[in-house]
Amino acid sequence: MLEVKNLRKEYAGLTAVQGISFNLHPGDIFGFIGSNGAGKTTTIRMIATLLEPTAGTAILNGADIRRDTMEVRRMIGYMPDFFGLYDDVKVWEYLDFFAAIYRVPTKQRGEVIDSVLELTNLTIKKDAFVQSLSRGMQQRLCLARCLVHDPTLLLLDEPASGLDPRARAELKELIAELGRMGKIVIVSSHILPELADFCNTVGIIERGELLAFGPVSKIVTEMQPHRVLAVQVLGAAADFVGPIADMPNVLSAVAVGEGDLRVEFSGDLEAQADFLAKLVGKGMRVATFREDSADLEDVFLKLTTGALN
Amino acid sequence: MASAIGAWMVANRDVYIGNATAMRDFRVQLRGNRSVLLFGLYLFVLIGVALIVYSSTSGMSGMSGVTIVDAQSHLKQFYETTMGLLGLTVCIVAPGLTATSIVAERQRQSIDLVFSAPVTPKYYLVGKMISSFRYTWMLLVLSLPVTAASVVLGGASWADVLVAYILLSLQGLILTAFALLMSAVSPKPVGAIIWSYAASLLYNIGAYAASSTALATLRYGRGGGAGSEAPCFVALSPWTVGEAARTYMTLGGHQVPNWLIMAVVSLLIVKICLLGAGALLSPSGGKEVVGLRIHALLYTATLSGIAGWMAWEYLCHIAPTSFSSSGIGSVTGSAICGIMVSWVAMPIFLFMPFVGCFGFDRERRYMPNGVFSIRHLLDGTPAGGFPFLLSMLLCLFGGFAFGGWYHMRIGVSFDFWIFAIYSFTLWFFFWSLARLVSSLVNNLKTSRVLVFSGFMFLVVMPYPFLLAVAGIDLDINKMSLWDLYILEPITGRRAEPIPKAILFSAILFGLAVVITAIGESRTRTKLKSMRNYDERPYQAA
Ligand SMILES: Nc1ncnc2c1ncn2[C@@H]1O[C@H](COP(=O)(O)OP(=O)(O)OP(=O)(O)O)[C@@H](O)[C@H]1O
Ligand SMILES: [Mg+2]
Repeated sequence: MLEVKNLRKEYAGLTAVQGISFNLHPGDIFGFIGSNGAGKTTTIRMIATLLEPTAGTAILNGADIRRDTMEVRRMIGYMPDFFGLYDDVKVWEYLDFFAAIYRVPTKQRGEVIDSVLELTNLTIKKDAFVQSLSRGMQQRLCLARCLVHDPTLLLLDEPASGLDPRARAELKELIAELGRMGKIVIVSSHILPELADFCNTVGIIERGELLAFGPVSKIVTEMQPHRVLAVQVLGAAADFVGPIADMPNVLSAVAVGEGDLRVEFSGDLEAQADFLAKLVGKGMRVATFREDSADLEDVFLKLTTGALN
Repeated sequence: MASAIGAWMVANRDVYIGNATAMRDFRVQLRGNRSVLLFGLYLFVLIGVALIVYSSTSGMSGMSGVTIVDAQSHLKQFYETTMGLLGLTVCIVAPGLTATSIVAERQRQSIDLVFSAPVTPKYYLVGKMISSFRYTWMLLVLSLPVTAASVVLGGASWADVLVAYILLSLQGLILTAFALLMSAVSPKPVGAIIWSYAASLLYNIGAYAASSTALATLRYGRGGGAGSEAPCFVALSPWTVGEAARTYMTLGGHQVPNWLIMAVVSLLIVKICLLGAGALLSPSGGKEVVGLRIHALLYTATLSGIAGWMAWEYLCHIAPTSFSSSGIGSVTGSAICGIMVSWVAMPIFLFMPFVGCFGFDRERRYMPNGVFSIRHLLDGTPAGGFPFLLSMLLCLFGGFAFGGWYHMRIGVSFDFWIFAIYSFTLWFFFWSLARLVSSLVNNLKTSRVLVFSGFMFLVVMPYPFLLAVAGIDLDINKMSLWDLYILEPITGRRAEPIPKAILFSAILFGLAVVITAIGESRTRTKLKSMRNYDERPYQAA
């Protein structure tokens, strides 16, 4: 379990992370969303023990990132938003080096390297030089590197940037698999669709502040407690706003464009069906009638102001 | 107990044998034809130069009338030239190989990957040391055929060659450690290379000056040479290994070979360089900072002890007469010693900016955690800054007094300690100024630069400047500025410096207390919000 407590980072004259707190449990895949400069990398680097927090701390399975640095490092796999590859090194040598510094016993290293290469689909590149790999392959090699010591917490900083759609889908599958294996995975990104479908927890950060945290569905319902119905009618929508607003369970109704209406509705599905029947009964010619469910992107845009740090 | 020792041994085995960093560098170094080509070229040049030197020195032996002794000395000269060449190789290769090792990793950011793994700075640095030093060492080993030639021809013995190689290796080790430290300090590779060679050059100039003077005295004074007694620093310079190889020093009645002393000294130098680099790579208050400070204190105490041991006799018995004959009043030997040590303490001003200032430095923070706390003596946090400064001074004065006492069995008198107190108040005063500057300026770098330059302008520069203006025959009594000058007790040129030292001490102490109080109150208000933040109860989102 990872407990982040009041983690705060100040640079001279700038607070990059303003004391954020959250808890994650084994199996959680946490999507860390924020625009450029929001403080994602800073937070991740603090948890990775590479940056000293100005205040606060994080505790991973009882080990404090400030006091038990070595213990924490043994449990984490950190994949930065850059590659940090060495020149003139072969793929297996690169992995062997990291297996060695993670103190993987010499006898097991060959096996471990083969299995992480298998997992990341790089087996055929085992003897290639790392600088000869394509960008996506290098990215996967970096992920393979994080896995050599079977970490409990994975910190992936923008892991999907530069991957083709296929590789991206594979990466998602891989991360989901890691979650099923009981690891805690933190994935940062500013590409929202990338995260929404495989993260079970998200956090939205702006200017170093955690604006929202929790399961995707919870965040969405919090932001939009009522159902929004999109109704397309034939004829001028503005004429219908008044009568609709007076109907039961309708909180508000606005015309959007020529024949579209957005209705905020508080009733259940039963009431919703009655509402449609009433509309038709009143002689409105309804062309489409659907629930406009909000997604993470709406939440994100609504919560953040786009202000830069 | 046994298990703790076992764990320690395993940890150290991991660091020194099978170090992963060294292993990876090794694979890269020996990859492809590059190193083979390099080694080939190197051997070619070495043999070529050796042949030229050989033919020019031995050419005469073909002529008639050349005695055996002449031929012998030519061969010896050949051997020493070869060794000089190897010294040059070490001086060029060792810093060059090492200088970029850490900076390059920092630029490539692969250092972050390494330190997100359970890697201690020690493990990493020793790995880097091994990988660069191993390369230098391979070059040395490759030169064996050339040096073997001079043994076969009769210029030197195998023992000479062996010791010379040990000395060269040690010097290579020192230069590698310097370069590694520079590599940890510099943000840019070019800077690291320049600074590494600058450090190497400085070391070479200093070591060569010291060892060649000592060797010259040997050669012309006693007509000795190899196998004779000489101070241990003759073994410091890579340029004189041939001659220094067989010298020894008498310590406690035993003839200790200088290369052995040199081995200890160079390992200590390497240790302190690596600790410095480690302190830079570890978070604030790390184990390396503690190690660095302990070593700094130990070395200071040892060096001043040696200085006391050597200078005591001269200062206590000869100096007072010569000082009083030049018109300076009743200054005792102890006071002279005190003045001298106060002067020697001057380099503390280099520590001053680091000990007195706090703030943000790159990705670290140096939040003040109090004014004075013995508990923080060694961890590099601001509360321990002043106690550390005091211990440094204590080591200086105490070491000197102890060294002298050990040698002569005469303790220092109160006059010596007066100057110790004066020195303490002087540095207390500057430390308080540093704290004030640091509380007024937000940026760590700015405040450190301010403190450093302020000190240079106020204390260090005026002295040589005034000397230059007034010429060497400075009549201090005519210069009113000196009367204002706070260093007057230390310069000790006037009659009766002791009462002055007491007076100045009292004034400086009072001022320092006031300035500290102001600086600290400013710091407290500035940090109040921060503290509140730290103590805020946390709630998980
Ligand atoms: N070493 C540093 N010194 C000073 N300021 C820094 C430093 N590193 C980061 N910052 C600042 O901290 C803020 C947060 O940066 P961070 O890299 O965490 O953002 P991010 O969310 O990862 O952005 P991106 O999506 O672009 O990667 C930025 O305003 C940045 O300018
Ligand atoms: Mg980032």
